[in-house]
Amino acid sequence: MAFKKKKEKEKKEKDPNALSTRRVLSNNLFVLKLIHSVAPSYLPTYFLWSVGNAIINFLMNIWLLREIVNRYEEGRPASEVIGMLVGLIIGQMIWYCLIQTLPDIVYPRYQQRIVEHIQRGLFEKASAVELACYENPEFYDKYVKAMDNAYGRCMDVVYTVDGCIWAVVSIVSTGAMLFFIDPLLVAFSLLPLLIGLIRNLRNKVSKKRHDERQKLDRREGYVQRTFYLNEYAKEMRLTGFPGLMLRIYDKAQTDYIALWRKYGFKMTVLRLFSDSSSALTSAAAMMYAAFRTLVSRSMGIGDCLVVFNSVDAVAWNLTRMAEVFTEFRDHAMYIEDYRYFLEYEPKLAATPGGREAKSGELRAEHLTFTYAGAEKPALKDVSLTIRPGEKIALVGHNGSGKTTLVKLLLHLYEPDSGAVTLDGIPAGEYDASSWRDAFTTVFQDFKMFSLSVAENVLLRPLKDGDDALVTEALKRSGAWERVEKMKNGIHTTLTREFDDEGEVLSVGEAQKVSLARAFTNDSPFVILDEPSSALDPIAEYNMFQNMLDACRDRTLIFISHRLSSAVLADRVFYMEDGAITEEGTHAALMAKNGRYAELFRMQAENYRETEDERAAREGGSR
Amino acid sequence: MKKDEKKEKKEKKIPLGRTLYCNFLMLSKIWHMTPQYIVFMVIVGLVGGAASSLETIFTYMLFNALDEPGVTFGRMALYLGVILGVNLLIGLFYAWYYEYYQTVTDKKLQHRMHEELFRHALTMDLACYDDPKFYNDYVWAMDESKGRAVQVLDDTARMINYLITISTLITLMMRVDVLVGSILFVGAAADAVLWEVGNRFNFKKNERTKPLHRKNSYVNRVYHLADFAKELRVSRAGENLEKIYSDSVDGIVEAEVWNGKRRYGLDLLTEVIDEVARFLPVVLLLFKLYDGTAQLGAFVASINIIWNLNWSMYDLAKNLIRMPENARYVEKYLKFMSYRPTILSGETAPEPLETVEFKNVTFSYSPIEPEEKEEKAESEKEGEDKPQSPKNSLEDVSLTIRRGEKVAIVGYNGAGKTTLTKLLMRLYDPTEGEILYNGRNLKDYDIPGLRARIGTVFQDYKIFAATVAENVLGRECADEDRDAVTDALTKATFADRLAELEAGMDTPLTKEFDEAGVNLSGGEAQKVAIARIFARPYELIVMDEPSSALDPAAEYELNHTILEYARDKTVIFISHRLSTTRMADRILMFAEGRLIEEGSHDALMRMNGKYAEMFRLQAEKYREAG
Repeated sequence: MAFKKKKEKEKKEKDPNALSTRRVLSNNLFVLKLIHSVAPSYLPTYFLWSVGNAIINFLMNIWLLREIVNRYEEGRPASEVIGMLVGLIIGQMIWYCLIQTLPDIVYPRYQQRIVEHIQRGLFEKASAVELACYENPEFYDKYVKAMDNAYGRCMDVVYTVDGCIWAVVSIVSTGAMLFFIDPLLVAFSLLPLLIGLIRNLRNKVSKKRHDERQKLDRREGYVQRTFYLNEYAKEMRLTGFPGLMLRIYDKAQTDYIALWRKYGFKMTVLRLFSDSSSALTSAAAMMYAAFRTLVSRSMGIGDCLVVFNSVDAVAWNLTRMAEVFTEFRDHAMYIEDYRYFLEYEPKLAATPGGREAKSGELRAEHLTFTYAGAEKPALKDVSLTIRPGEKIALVGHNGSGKTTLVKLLLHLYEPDSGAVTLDGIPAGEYDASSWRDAFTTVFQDFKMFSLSVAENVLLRPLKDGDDALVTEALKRSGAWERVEKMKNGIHTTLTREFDDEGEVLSVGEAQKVSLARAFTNDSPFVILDEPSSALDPIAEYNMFQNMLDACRDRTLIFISHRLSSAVLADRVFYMEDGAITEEGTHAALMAKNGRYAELFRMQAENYRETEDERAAREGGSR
Repeated sequence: MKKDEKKEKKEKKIPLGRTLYCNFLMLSKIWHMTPQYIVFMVIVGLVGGAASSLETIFTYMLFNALDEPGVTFGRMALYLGVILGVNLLIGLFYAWYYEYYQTVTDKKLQHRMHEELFRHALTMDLACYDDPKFYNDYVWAMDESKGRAVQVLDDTARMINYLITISTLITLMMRVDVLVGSILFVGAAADAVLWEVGNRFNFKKNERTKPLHRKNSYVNRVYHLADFAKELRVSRAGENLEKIYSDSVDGIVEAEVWNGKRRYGLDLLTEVIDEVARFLPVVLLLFKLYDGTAQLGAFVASINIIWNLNWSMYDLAKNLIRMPENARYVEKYLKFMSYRPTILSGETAPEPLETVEFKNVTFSYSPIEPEEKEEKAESEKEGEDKPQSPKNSLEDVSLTIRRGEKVAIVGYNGAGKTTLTKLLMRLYDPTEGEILYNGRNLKDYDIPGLRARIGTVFQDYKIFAATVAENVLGRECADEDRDAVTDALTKATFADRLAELEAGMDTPLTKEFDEAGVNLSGGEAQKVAIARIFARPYELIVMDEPSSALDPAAEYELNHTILEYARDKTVIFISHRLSTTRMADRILMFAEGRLIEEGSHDALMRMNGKYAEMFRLQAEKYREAG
């Protein structure tokens, strides 16, 4: 696997767009196989449909005319000719009645199943790859492309094959007929094949132009967003930024026009050549037929008419054939991203069906970790041991590595060196889903899903008896007052993503809903990353009391830069520049009088009461 | 729910007249921006129609000529030459037009349209953003603006082309045989009717599947946005989402099959009509052939016209499908462009700030779409599922801020603190009461002038994809600005980080269009945002929770610096962290949109009211340990 990836990477570096012909075929076949495995009767019937349609098209539009002309010239009676015509029409209608059930009634089901299969495959993979993938722009870009294009491209492959079948059947049938009339005519039909080469060239130029414009697209899109997204609206009104943005936009437009001009002439010429090819061929073939009929008198009028009538079709279908490979190549490029993503092996060590994670001693052993693309490691040789049931506070300045440490403990990233262990066994040896279930985590940048309140709290499918559980949890996290007032209580959908009656929570309310999760289960570990950043002091205070209560027997790890909460912890880890520099109880650290104590005093200073205030308070409470 | 559906239908069903009118409006818009484009569009349509008519006529003559006993090869070659010539010329014209002329002109047009859209967007009241429906339409209009104008142009050109071609073909056929011509005409008309019925079917289906597709694309988005990646890994939320996904797939299948069954009958009917309209003429022509009233060449020529007519009709139908879609875009676009802001600038240039006074100000966020006021009134009358009347964000607030004061506005989340700022900046106007600037209504003043005197750092500030200096200045950075930028960044305690940046203040921020761009951390970005107010000579500075992303040490340092540098300025701090606001001259305590307590920290502590309670609660934990 590793070798293969390396090889692929090398190829990529040489020319990101060049795929070998073999790979092009293999990618397209991959898609067909995939579709076939989901809906086995889809492709056979689909292709039967295209063959049938192509044959009917030939019979009705080309062969029929020749038959009529021939029979007329042979002096057959009108009844015979009309009978044949009516017979064909009836035959066509019967075929249509039968076959039209496919696209109208049968295929929607297949197609939806195929989308579902493809998307689910992507979802599954997306949840399995390590978080680092999201930070790797190249990977992420591929992934987004795969997500956006997978289904559409898969269907496009089918359509291209369909077009291919149609063209082949038409060419073979019409070609055979023309060959029958005069073998030389077939030679004329081959001319457009040369034009296929020009077409290929044209595609290459257009691809180049497309690549060059992408940078401009990005600039343009960004400026557009700053003008219409809500999040920029205030600043765009209050400051001079619109002028700055318009300048970027104007520059992009000038660059665009320069780019179009640069390629304009080339594209015009190429298009002219490829477009006029079929006109030229048809004219030549018709000229030839006219010559044989009128000058050398070796062709009957009937045949001449047939040639006039059908030579266009062959030329058109041959041009179409020339496009087919370009189309396959184009599909293959997108499918390449899709396959790359599907075949990507997550770098996160995992043992499916491994040990079950339970409460125990959680340790970080000499963890060092660097984010992709970062120069400095975010964590440097961090070791710590957390005993079951301990309450741990991680404190420190922004960027000191607190959140990173937590993410590694959660096994979202693989460390550069060192390991996370539970009861002495590395995280990778546990079953991934049991590891996940062992932790209840509320992140600083928690997100509300477009699910019901209850589902947002539990973040798992609902079961019987969950209603009471969720209600209780919301009460303890302080969100109940808000939820109680909602139309459907805890079953109200949050966000307006797809429910216009959905409730939109403020940041503080959303945080309370997120925090409620910790009250709904008794996972051995609870991790809270800046749990109270958006809460007002009273809410914060109540939440902390409730949380400590709920975590009496559980391990609680919380990150905070408000040191007032660190006081409640059994042990405090003070982090600086990716390392733990001080460790101990609040009292011990204060006594040590190091960086932690300094920071704490600084924060506390503003809260220290003056004599007057104390007197007032005591006076007031009396 | 039912109402919603009705509304959507109302919005979506656009009658044919309106469709044409909308397309026309778009064309006249384009005419104003790039008149040459319209001229060329008409030429493209006319030339295209003329070329295909010519081709058909000459092909017809070509076939007919074969019937003549004494026809020469030379005449045939001439006909063929004309056909080829027409084809090559039109090919050349198209190649130049589509690959060169259109790409460039298109960009010019788009540029002008977008600039107009952008400028218009800036005049929109902020309240519009609170109205999801208006906002969605607006975003859609913006997104679509890229290709739609050209689409309208191209479609119109094609329409001209097809109409010319089809009328030529039918006229030609009428001359050959009136009956056949009439059959073709009736067939075409019947097709159009069936096509419209089919459209209605599809429309119904789309109405059913639209919300389902919306769900699916939401799930897709959740999986590919980095924002959700962590949550999906640490919880089982994926299972819920996949359930939503498969449920809506089931729903879509059901709707598609339901529609397919209805369509099936329609498709069969269309097929029968098509075949009859196509082959009945052939049978009639055959009779004529056997009668001896027509010869073989004429017979094939006529059939050729019928075939061609068929193709043109098919093309026309395809083209027609897009027209209502275009019209829908134009409607939204026009609606947006005709939007007039309700927050209007006054004419007086504001003099230096002396006092700002809120007099019995009440405010509620009630997004009202200008054009839907009527509908709203209607639905209110109906009284069913009326949205709970929006709570007032501010309720009868009166306060005065004098020059040089340092005022803190504190309170719990949702107390109306930020709303106050937004009113002051005239992003919204009060629902009741008035705001006085130096004793005169704020509405009398020129808005840009006001905003040049009042600077704000919002909680949800944004960093733009521009250099550090440009981000501070909000415009291009000239040489003489550089000192001011350094100074502002230093005051905002960003100097250390600035020294680390390789290109200093010229470092591009965000990776939006520069791979070498720097992504600042939350705290750093906030400092840059704060530097903005130091870079300009504001008289009143509003800090809306400016330090929420900063750690305590930075917060402490920053608050002191701000106070120091802003000694001669008026400053309003907004916060729920009372440690940061304690140093203010005056503290205004808000609760549920009302001003409940006011005074210095000491006075409020002595008063022992809500403020004192809140302060103690925050201080308590520090005190116990300290």
